[in-house]
Amino acid sequence: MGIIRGQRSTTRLASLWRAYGTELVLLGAIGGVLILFSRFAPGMLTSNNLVTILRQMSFIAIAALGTTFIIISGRIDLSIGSTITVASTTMALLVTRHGVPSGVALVLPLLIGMTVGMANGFLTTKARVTPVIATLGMLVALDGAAKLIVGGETINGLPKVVTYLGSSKLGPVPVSVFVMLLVWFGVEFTLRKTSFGRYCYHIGSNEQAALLNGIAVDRYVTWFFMVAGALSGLAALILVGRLRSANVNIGVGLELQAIAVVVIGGGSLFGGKGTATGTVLAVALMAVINSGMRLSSINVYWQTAVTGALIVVAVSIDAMRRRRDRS
Amino acid sequence: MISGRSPKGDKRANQRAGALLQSLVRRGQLIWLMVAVAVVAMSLISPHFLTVENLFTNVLRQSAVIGIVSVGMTLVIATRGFDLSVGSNIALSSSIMALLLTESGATVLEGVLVALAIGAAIGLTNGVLVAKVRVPPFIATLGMLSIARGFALVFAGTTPVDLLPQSLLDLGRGKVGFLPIPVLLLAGTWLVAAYLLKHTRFGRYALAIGSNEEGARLSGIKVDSYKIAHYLVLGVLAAAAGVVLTGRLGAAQATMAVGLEFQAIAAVVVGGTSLFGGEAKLGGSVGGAILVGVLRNGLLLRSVDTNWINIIIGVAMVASVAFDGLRRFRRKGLS
Repeated sequence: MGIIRGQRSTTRLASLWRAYGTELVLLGAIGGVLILFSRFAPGMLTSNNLVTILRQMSFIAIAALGTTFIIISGRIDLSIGSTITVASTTMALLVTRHGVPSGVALVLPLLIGMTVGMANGFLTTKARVTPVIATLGMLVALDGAAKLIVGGETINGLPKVVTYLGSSKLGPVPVSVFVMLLVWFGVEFTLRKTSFGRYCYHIGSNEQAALLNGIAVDRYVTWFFMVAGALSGLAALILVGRLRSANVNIGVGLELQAIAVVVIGGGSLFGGKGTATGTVLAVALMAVINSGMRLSSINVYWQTAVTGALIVVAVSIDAMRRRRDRS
Repeated sequence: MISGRSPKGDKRANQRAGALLQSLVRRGQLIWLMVAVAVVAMSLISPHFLTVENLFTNVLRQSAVIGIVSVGMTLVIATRGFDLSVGSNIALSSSIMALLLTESGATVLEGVLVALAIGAAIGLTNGVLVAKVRVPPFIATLGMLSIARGFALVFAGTTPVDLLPQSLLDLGRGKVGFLPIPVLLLAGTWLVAAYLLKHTRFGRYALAIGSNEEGARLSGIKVDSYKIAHYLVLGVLAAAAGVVLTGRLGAAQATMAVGLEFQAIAAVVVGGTSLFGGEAKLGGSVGGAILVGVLRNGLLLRSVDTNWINIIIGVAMVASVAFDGLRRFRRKGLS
């Protein structure tokens, strides 16, 4: 009896580990990094700095939550950063120079994002371009378009309504953090409890089976790209609000960060794996590392290298785990 | 096929044109037609384009850097691989070389060897990650892109390292007779790679692995070692292209060659090599690099915004891949 109970508790632990292992490791890592850096940088654990970290992670978390759908369904989207650039600059330009009302300007980034997502979906499902190339082409096209529209200038003087999401606070907590929490719960719910989310995993883990089961794979994949695009638009709105300005470099490289955190958060580039919570915790980990490195005045360029190394390590672990499971 | 009602003559002419196009595509020579069209178009829009001086010293010299990278990229894409880290590879290897030359008093030969060694190390790491650890090539090299760029920035900061010795500058600017040295280097790389591809295991196995990796493994090919070798060669070639680029620009910088991977992949893909592996059209890739160079130079002479040029190249790349995907789709008849 005792033996059985012992076994049962270990299996329960094992299943808990299997279900939430990545999340637990990430939480541990976040705690570890916080404690480690607080020894070198006394400003690390102040409530001020923690709020700053939350605010800095909010927009990237929102973009990454959109990317989570894409990665789970076994696709990839390299156009996230340039979508953010185009959405922010176009919106800022229209609202400051062409008298577009602020109410419209709030919806505009979302619409631009969805349009880009629709184009990505069309290219990958109907024109059958591999997602890497389709979205890489989209990246170049959108970056070029933004530069043609705005040129090298920085657009300032945005109305308060537009910057509200990015720079206002409710009590001590920035509004953008609430938006992030909302999106997080929304995506978590969608992935766990709706057919939209279940199909995402289904398509990612076995596309042929999904097709044979009558799931309209092409239509869902297009929707995933559109959701990712829309959330990039929302991220753009928050980013513009926080900076109170927009320029053509605003979104450079964000796609890599977004993909990186989804993978570090337990997503697999082979599709079929990934969670909203894992993604958000991975964003938090990166934000804590960045903050710590900045506060302890380590050369900022190490961050680029560290991000790359984290991607490689996370994916290597995923790949090795898959091989072990198979053999 | 769909237009069943069209007159017979039209149909036959269409078929003949289609067959010609298909045979060009099959032999990987469509790209030269595109280069010719681009050259004609560019000389029509700009009077300064079609001069011997411009074609040789500008267009070909500029194409050579991307050309050298795209030859290596063709090998890796033939194995159904991919490498996004070549631009960062150039930045890291070239800026360390430049630092050694200007601050540590290394000779040019030592500097170049160190650059090539760094390229080899990056290629080796990519290869091991892809072949042994089984990380998808796209993400392994994406990580390497960040790592190498980060290291380049840490070591060299953002200021350009110039005042390089003349013999290094010659690698990018010099001429032998009327031929620029970069063009000769590209030609040499092309010839050697073509020989390797046709007549050695290194090349034949690249195609075998790309068309059926499991089959290659079951036939006793040491798939992993060969894949690592292919990535390693690409790493070395990228570093070599970086040396040439540094010579041409007269300086190395940690922010150099951003987005070069995109141009190299575009050259390979527009040149007719399939991203699905098992094919290597070296001539097509070189042609693709020249096409990119022709467009860039001609449109710049006409003072077209660089961004439009990038958009055009991007569209050409996506269109080629869509074309390739549809071709395969039709051949297989299923998804």
